[in-house]
Amino acid sequence: MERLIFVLMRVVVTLKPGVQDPEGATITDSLQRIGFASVNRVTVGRHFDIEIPGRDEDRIRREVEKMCESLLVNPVLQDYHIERIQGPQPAG
Amino acid sequence: MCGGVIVQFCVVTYPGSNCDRDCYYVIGEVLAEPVRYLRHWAEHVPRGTSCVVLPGGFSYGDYLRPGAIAARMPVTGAIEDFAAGGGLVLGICNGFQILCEAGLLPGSLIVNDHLAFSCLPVHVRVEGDPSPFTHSLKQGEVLRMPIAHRDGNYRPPSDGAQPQVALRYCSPAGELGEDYNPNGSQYSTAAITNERGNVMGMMPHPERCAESILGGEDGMRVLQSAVDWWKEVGSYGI
Repeated sequence: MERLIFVLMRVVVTLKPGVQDPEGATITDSLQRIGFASVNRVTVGRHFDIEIPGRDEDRIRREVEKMCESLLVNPVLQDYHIERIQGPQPAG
Repeated sequence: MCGGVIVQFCVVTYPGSNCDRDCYYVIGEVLAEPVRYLRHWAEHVPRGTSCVVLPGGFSYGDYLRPGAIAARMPVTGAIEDFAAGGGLVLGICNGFQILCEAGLLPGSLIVNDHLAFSCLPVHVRVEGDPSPFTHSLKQGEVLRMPIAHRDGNYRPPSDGAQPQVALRYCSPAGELGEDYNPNGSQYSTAAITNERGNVMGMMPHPERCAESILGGEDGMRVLQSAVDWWKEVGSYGI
C-alpha cells in the first residue's frame, strides 16, 4: 500500500518594525528585572506548522502563501516568512 | 416627513458573540425598531435592512487574532456588499475588531498597552467628521459609556493614512490626554468610520447604557442617531 507523502511547512509571523508591542515590552522589562540586564529588546511573534500532502514543494509553498494572505497574517501589523521543516516524507 | 419609514436592524450572531441578545433587546424594546438575528452562515443581508450591528463578544474564541476568523465567514462578505450599497453597519467591540480584520475599516486593534482586560465606564468626545451614527450628536459633546475589552488599542494603517475618528476617549469635560485613554489607542481613538461614514466601529458598548436603570442612556443616543439619519436622509438613498 502506498503511504501518503507530506511536507511540513512553518509560517513564522512577526510584528512589523515600529508596531507597538506591549507584550514584548513587558517581557523585556521582566527579563531585565530578574537579572538579565543585557536584554535590549524582546518582540513577540508566533508560528504555525502546517502539514500538507504532496511532493511538489513549490506548489505547497504557494498554497501556504495564500493561506497567510487569506487568514493567518494581518498585513496591517505583521510580516511573515515560510520555512520548510520536513519533507517530502511519509507521514509520521 | 419621517412618519412611516421603517428602520430594520439585523444583529449578527457569530459563534462566541455574547452581546447579541443585549443589542437585540435594546434595539427592539428600547429603541423600538424592528430587529432580527442574522447568523454567521447567512450569505445575504435580508432585503429591506437599514442597519447591521456586529455585537461584542469573543467570536471564534478570539483565536488567531480577535475578529480574524469571523471576518472570513460568509455573512461578513454579505455585510461588505451591504455596506458598499450604502447600508449602515455598526461594529461594537469585537464587532469593531471584525470590521478592521475584514477591511471594511482601516487599521487594526491590538492588545491594550497595559495588557489587562479593561471593564469600566469611560467618557468619549464626539468628533467632527459626519456620520449617520453621530448625526444627532453635537461636535465636542461628551458621552459616558462602558468599555470591556483586552484588545482595544487602535493602530491606524501603516501607510500613514489617517482614519475618520468619530469618538475619542476624553475627560468628563472633554479634554484629551493619556490619563483618559484606557488602552493606549493612537490619538485616543474610541470609534472610527469609513470614508463614506456609513460603517462605524466603536469599542464602547452603547447597548450597555441605553436605559437609566442601568446607569446611563448615552448609548441610546448613538443608536438613535442612526435611526434619525435613516429617517431623514438614508431612506432616500445615499
